[in-house]
Amino acid sequence: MPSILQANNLSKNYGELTAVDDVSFDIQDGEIFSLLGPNGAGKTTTISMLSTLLAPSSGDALINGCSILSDNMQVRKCIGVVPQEIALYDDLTALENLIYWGRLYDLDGQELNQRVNEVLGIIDLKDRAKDRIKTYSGGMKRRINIAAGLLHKPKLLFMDEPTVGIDPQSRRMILDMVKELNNQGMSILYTTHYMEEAQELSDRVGIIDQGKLIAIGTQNELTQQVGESDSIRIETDPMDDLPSIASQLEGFGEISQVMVEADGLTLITKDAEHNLAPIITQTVQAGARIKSVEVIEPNLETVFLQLTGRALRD
Amino acid sequence: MRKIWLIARKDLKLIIRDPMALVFYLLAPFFLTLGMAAVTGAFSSGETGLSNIPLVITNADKGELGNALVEVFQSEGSDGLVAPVLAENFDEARQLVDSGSTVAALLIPEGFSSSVMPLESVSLPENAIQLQLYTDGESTYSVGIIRSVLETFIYELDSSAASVSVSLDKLLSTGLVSPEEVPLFLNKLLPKLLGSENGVGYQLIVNDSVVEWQDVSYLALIAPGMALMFLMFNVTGGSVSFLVERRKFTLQRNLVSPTGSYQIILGKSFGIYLRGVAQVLILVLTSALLFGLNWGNWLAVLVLIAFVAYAALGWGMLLTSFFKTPSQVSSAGTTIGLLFGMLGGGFIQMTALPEWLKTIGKISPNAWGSEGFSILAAGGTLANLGGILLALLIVGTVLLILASFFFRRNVTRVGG
Repeated sequence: MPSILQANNLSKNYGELTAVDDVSFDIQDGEIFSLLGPNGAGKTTTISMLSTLLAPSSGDALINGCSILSDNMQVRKCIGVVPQEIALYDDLTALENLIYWGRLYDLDGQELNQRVNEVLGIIDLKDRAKDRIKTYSGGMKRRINIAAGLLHKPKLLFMDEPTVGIDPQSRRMILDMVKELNNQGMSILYTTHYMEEAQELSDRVGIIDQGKLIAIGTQNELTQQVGESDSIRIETDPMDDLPSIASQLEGFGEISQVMVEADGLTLITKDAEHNLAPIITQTVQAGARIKSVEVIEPNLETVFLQLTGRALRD
Repeated sequence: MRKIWLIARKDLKLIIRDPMALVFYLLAPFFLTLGMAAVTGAFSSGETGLSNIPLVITNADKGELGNALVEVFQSEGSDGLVAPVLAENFDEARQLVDSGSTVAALLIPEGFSSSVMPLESVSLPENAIQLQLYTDGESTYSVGIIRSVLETFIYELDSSAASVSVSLDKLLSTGLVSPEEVPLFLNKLLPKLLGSENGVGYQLIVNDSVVEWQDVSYLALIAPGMALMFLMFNVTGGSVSFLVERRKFTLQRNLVSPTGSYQIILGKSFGIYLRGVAQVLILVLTSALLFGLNWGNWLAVLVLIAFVAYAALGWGMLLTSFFKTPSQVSSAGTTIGLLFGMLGGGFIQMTALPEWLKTIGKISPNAWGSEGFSILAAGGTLANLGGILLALLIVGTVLLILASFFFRRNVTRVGG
């Protein structure tokens, strides 16, 4: 399958700070590719470079065969961008916003009207089209924000954390919309720090942390990196001395990693089912007052934990 | 061009949809004009507002022209604006000013009429004929009106004197015009003879200093300066929209569309420019329609507004390109708006400024604009604005070029 996007050694520096560090990946035509990482990992900077908003400090990317450095106008014509922020004019109606953004993408006349009508149907907001954006709820604004990126039928859609700060119902609708757009043939680069979204949507996932792409593959490929390891999440009393307890658990049994979190510990171990009882005993002996215990089978969160030593939500 | 207009139209629509912005940028100058009119009494007296300004005139000339000037102040045309009384002795008249009984004393010197109508028995004086105005130094507006009347009279007289002199001499000698008909003749002939460069010079002396000719009506003294000051506020405020759009991420969304950054900058600039033009036009039209203020030749007024708004846009864009946050631009814009307002006659007449301030004021669109409006209000045409329009063009262009250097770095470039 041909690549719609090929990113080669992209880096972005701000003085001493390296926001994106030598990132390379590709997106196949018709694929949903997710960049999964915590806040500040470099997801938005990566999308900003790919969408020609930011010039890379080094590296390049080809989108639909066009370089983001030397052919950025052609790149812009074949991409759609849904920014993390609600980038709409509050004092214009949804219809006026869509017409404006459509015209910026060289749509006009009957074609523009038809596309505006179609995207309003996709996001199910036809009946509110003539209301000003400032009267919309957060979820409705998110949907218009997405619609504005779809008007020109882009081959590749960049969606930067499109579900941040919205209610579960709107979130569900957006996730279904992403899947439907992909079913219609649109390639999608989706950034998120929600593991569940990446798991539900993605054909492949790139895990990004501190500007570096630390793992890439299908979910199966990534979880295989963790092997047979499970996560055991132990919630403890907030007053417990967690660093001290963690140091006593390190190396115990088959525990390979211990992560201290705000309200407890997360342990990576093999065969949690058999090791759970001695681990709990050891934890209590180390001075912990356990409030709850959860065994998590290998997933992207586990992969991230294993690779970075931190939880995604950190 | 289509996208430039699209972006400009969107910005104009946003202004119309934002009640606060609409009030500040477009309606505030309108209400300011109403306020000025109310303060100066234009609603009650029809023209310039103030009335019955006390003036003591010493007519040492006693001739036709001196009498004509007295009649100007006494005539129906002044609508009771000035309440002149006559005094035989100018020193006594000055004492009345010093004692606070009147705001100004005017001396029409001997030989004033003969300088225009030299009969065979009277020779032309070698030096300029000096009308002397002695004022209390406090009644700025009242004295400003008296000065305006005198300056207009002198302007017309000065530029027409030679032609009138020759014409009158022939007409009087042939008996076609009698001495009694001279004032009427002057009223009809002077406007047609503007532009003559020869003849005796006339000067207005105010408190022993020679003053230059300047604008005509009271409202015209203040209105252009106020309009231009609000234009600066408007344009700098409009330029802030670049930074606001960046903060709201709509600028970024524009930049990732297949639209050149130059189109976005030009489009937004054009929107800011248009609303600046609209604002000044509103003030000009309302003051003309409601208060009968004479701005002069309409075509020239429109052209001048277009050029002034262009120069103001240059300042607005430079500030926006230089500063990084809307509040920084707003603060700098307010400071510069007030400063330029002062330099451009928004608070006090420009003639009252010291020379060095007038020189500094040349960097402001306000000073050039005020000068242009004064010329037009006094009957000037587009041809008289050549230097001013060129200066405004240079100011605007230089500032926009400077702004373009900073713009890509500070405005269209964004962090990730």
